[in-house]
Amino acid sequence: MILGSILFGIAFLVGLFGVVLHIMLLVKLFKHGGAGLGILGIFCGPFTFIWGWMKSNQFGMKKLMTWLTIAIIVSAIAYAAGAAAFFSDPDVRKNIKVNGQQLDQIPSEADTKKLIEEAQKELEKATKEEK
Amino acid sequence: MVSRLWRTLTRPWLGALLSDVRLCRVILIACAVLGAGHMLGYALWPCVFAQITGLPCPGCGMTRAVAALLRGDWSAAMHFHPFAPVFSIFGVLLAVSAMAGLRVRKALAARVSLIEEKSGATTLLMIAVIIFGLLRMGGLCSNSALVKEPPLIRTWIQERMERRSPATTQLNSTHSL
Repeated sequence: MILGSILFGIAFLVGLFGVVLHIMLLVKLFKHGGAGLGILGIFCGPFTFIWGWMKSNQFGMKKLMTWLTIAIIVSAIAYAAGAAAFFSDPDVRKNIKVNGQQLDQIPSEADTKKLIEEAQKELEKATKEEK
Repeated sequence: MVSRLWRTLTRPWLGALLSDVRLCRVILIACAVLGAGHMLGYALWPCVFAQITGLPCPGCGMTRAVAALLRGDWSAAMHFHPFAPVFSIFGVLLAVSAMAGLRVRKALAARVSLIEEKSGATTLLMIAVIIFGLLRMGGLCSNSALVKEPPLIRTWIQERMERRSPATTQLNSTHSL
């Protein structure tokens, strides 16, 4: 549990560092690629990353791109390792199992509709019998 | 001042992109890999903005929309992202530029650049996408609930628990014997 939390914390911090580097890359994209390409880069992360590597020599961004790549990889690995460490804890598993069982008990939307229909039919039957 | 701003805004970016054949090819390969991942049910490059905030970014839903377009399901595509047809056209242009010869590529890039310079259409389109994204974040669009609580981990855990539970029950029964 503690190890998992530590690894999640590392993943978060490295991810934050990655976000800062990504913003720096976006500034370069706006500067060299224009407003349209910059806006495209805001909501299309993979494009920004590819553009950064393809133009790294031309615009002198090799260091920035290397650090960004390292940040992405380290963050992903730390996140995966944290998740593995977190879910291998027996207490966490027990809690998840209990929560899962509680979730299973909640009827789905389709089941709720069926239940309502059945209740309505029973009501109609009862009213007919009363009459 | 205004003309300078207009010139900055209408700076042709799609034409410049189309003229760079290496970049076009790498983008196409990346699209193919991400698309294949989507077909297999894996989000290979999850949206950081959506992960952090739980809100859809202006580009969220684009992969699903393009996949729906490829299936011919226009209404689903429009539900996921109304700008998907335009971005599909951009994708086709990128594919043509990546695979065509030098002459065709240059002619295509020049024509697109000319249209961009005259109208500023591509940049205005990007601004429209941002405005749409902001409206969607504010819940003013019908498809505002694109990003839900990530159920992937939960279903994965449930599946694992279900798989393990018969084994543990078997183990318990053997112990009792």
